[in-house]
Amino acid sequence: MPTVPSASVSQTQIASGVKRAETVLAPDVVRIRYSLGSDWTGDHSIFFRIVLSDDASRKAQLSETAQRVALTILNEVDADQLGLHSYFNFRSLSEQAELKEPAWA
Amino acid sequence: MPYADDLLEQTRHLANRERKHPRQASLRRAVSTAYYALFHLLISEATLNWKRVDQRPLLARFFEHGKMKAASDKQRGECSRFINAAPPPALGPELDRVRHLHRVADTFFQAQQQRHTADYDDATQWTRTEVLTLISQVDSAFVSWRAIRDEPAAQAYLISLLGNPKGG
Repeated sequence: MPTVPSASVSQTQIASGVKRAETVLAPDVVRIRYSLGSDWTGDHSIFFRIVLSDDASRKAQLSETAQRVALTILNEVDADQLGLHSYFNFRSLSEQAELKEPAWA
Repeated sequence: MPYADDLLEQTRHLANRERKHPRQASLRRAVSTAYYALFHLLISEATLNWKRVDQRPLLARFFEHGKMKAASDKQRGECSRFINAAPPPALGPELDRVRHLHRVADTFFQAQQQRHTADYDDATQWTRTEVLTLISQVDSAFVSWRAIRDEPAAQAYLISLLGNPKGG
């Protein structure tokens, strides 16, 4: 995946926005990781990887939870202002415990 | 049942197919199918406006993923600006309509990237939660679309999916 030149975006702004979002969204959100890159059309993008608590990952409330989490992250990070498209992926804590993917740890 | 609804039903089946340890193939096909459910819903709604029924499938082939992404990005941006305006918009049917349209355009935008990853990136490991989240969002987008499908703004969005009239 092509990467976005780090100088062109404020890494500090993103990191502090993510930190604030994690605080606001706890305990439903266990942690948020992200990477910068390009989406399939080549637009600069930020890809958020969100680990949800097992409680928050229940089927019945997934849509609502995902919407609330994405909105909070958008408000806190303000990636649009940085010229980045935001994309969101979610997994549960127990799924990550099984997969042990470093990018989500 | 319309084709788009069949796809949405099929994506749930794929996502829940293996009870304990879902296969990557099932999850990736579920992601791709969820995107195509929304893709075909919007295209079928757009082509319904074409009077000659026998030509609707031909018209449907003029829609392109990239142009639909650009149109959806523009649409969700316009909706966001309205929703987040200062002072905030009054609660009521107008705000509800904009929220529904935002949900449709934003879900399309997100689902398209997920579909691309699911179809072409073998390195990505999918989990059931990721896939069920996407399906629930597409499901909500279907509901939102049906709430606003006859609204002028929704119909204008359908036209915009064909691309920029100046060729962009």
